[in-house]
Amino acid sequence: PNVKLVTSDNEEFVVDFRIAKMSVTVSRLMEAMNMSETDDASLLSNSIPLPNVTKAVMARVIEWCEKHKNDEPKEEKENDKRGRTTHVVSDWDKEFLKNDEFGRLCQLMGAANYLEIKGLFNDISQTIANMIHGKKSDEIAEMFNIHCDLTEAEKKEIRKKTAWCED
Amino acid sequence: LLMDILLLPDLFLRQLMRKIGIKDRMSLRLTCRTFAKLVSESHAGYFESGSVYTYDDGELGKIGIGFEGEVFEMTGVTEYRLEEILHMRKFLFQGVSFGKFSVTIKVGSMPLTFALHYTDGFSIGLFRFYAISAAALENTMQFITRFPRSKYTI
Repeated sequence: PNVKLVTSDNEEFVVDFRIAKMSVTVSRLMEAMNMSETDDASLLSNSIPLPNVTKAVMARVIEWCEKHKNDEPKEEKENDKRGRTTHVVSDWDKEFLKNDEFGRLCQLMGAANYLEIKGLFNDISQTIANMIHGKKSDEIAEMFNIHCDLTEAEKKEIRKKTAWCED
Repeated sequence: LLMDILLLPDLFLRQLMRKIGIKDRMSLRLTCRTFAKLVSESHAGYFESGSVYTYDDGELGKIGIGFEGEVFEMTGVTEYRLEEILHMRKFLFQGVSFGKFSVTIKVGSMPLTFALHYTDGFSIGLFRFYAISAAALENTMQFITRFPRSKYTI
């Protein structure tokens, strides 16, 4: 069975029921609208409005979901709940995200958050963390378009106090 | 498509900060005031292991702290060095979780006040202590009460 998703720019995407269920938000909406996998009429007569996602971003989200639709559900470990997960971005996901400029990654992250697709959200935040890894402050600032409002004297003072960690 | 990372919702930034290692946090806090604040006020996430230790290394000894694979060491086990560690910790995160955390003091001593300040906001699964004197053991026993939910080996 298929489910119709309608984006903010009125584009309709028809996706497999399994893919629609990967989004907690869509699942909840389908439940609220009494749409069920075994009731074709309910799926045909309804569509799910997604006012916070554009057509371009939705296409990317669906591409990611298509790839991951057969993944085993991940059991949330206690460590995951506590924070920094040892999340490994798979090779396919790296390839999928590598050409996205930072702005597009942010849009995709926003969609993953709104749609509650945890795997995609984690992939993107880990990708951004990987982009930061090993870079100097000025390289990070340039990459993320950050205007540095610290004075040279302040930077010098900070560096002085943490110089022992830099070796 | 350029976008200022600081325009991301706070939830995203905090989630991101949990995936960033200690050295990278240091670089981030030098980018701007907003990141400096975010780094110091955010949780550093979960590390499999962590440590604070001293060991004999010639005349002065060495003191170090570890976060999984990231280790930071200084020569000299002095009050001044302990202050430097507290300073670094204060500016790099508000809280952190460790699967295992070890305290190994082979040179000098680790005052209880330092231990309490350093581990403020820590969540620890398994504590491992190595105490070489009665005084150190007493400190350790007092320290343990701070983490009633952790398991210990001494």
